[in-house]
Parts: sequence; structure tokens; C-alpha cells
Amino acid sequence: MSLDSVIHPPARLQIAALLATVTDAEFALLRETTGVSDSVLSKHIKAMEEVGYLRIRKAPAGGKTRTWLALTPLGRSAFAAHVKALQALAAAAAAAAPEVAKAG
Amino acid sequence: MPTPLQDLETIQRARATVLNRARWPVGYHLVVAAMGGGLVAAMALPDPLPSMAASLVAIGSVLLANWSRSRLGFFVNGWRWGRTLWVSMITLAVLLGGVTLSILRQRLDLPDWTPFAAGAVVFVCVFFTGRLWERVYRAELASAA
Repeated sequence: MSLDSVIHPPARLQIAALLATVTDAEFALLRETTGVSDSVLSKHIKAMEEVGYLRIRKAPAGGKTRTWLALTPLGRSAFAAHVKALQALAAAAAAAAPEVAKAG
Repeated sequence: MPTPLQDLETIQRARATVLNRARWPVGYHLVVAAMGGGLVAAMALPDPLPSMAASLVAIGSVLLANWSRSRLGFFVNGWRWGRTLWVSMITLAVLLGGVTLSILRQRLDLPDWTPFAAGAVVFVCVFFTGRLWERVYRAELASAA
């Protein structure tokens, strides 16, 4: 079980984590959650879209065009696998911690 | 470089964003329940009213999804996988039961008001399963990644 290099950067991890809990979410919500600028967020989104993890939809609302993002089935399974890998690593680190303390 | 534990905390914070917004007003659940109950009750009406009712429910579903997107910044499909699935299955069973009873009322020699009674029962059930779905969804978001 290994970490997914596409999802691993913190901003992308936040994007995937949020989108994994919903059907789709607006760009503005992801910007608020990640705390990055529009251009940086767009780059992360593009990187995730290029590997097929994200689907982008633009729709007019209230006189403006809004961008909606959703994880694809591939993106959902990649995120789930990434979370499992993180949990395994965290558990291994927690198990190793008492051994390190004993040795110290 | 964040540790795996820090990454898991990052995931939890992102989920908390949705958790803090994932509250649907009572009126939303009442509209969903009215659509379910109305669909069942409409089965007692002459053609083409049942088909029109089904079309209205489809349009209403789209409007509710759009309302959720504009108000919350996201949309959650009620038929999603996850801990809420069993609640969705109960809702589906209630709806299908109500529709089936309404359609078969003549064959089963049931009173003419059966679809209306079934619609009322479905209305109440869908309202409470909707509220229950929201609670289970919020509990899922609040649980550790």
C-alpha cells in the first residue's frame, strides 16, 4: 500500500477529502477550504483532472458562471486507497513510538 | 513534510468544512416528503395526472439540488454510498411500498382512499428518514478519517 503522489500535496489532499464527502462542490468552497489563491487552486485542480481524478462542470448561476467540481470514481478509489495508506503509516508510527521511547 | 497523522488531521479539517455547512432546514425535508407522499397519492388520480406528478417530482428534485448548491456550496446525492445507505434503502422501500399499494389497490379490492392514506404514511416516513439521513451523514463526517 503506497501513497498517491497526485493526491499527497496538502491542498490536493484537502480538495479530495472535501469532494469525497459530497457529490459536487463549488470552486469558491474549495478555495475557502484550502486557503490558496484562485490560480494555485486551478493548477491543483488541473493536475487532478489530467489524471482523471476530477471532473469539472461550468454552469451559469445568478448571472455568473460557476465552476463545480466532483471526484470521478477513479478519484474516489484513489483517495480511499491514499487514506488507508496514511492510516497504516500512522498506526505503524504509533506502534514504533513506545519502542523508541524504551530504547531511549 | 507533514507526518501521516498530520495528513489525516488535514483530511478531518476538510470534512469539517462540509460538516459545518451540512444542515438542511425543516422546510427542505418537508418538500422532499411532500414529493414522495404526493407521488404515491397521485396514483389514485385519473390519467395523465400520475405521469404529471412523476414529472413534477423529477423537476422538484432538480430544483432542490440547485437550491442546495446555491445555499451550501455543494450537493450531496441522497443515494450515495456510505453510512447513510441503509437510511436511503428504508426510504426507497417505503416509497416503493406506497406506490405498489396504490397501483394494486383495485386488484386487492382496497378502498379508493388507500393511495391517499399511503401517501400520508409515506409523507411522514420520508420526512423522518430525511432527518435521520442528515444525522447519520453528519455523524459520518464527524468521525475520524
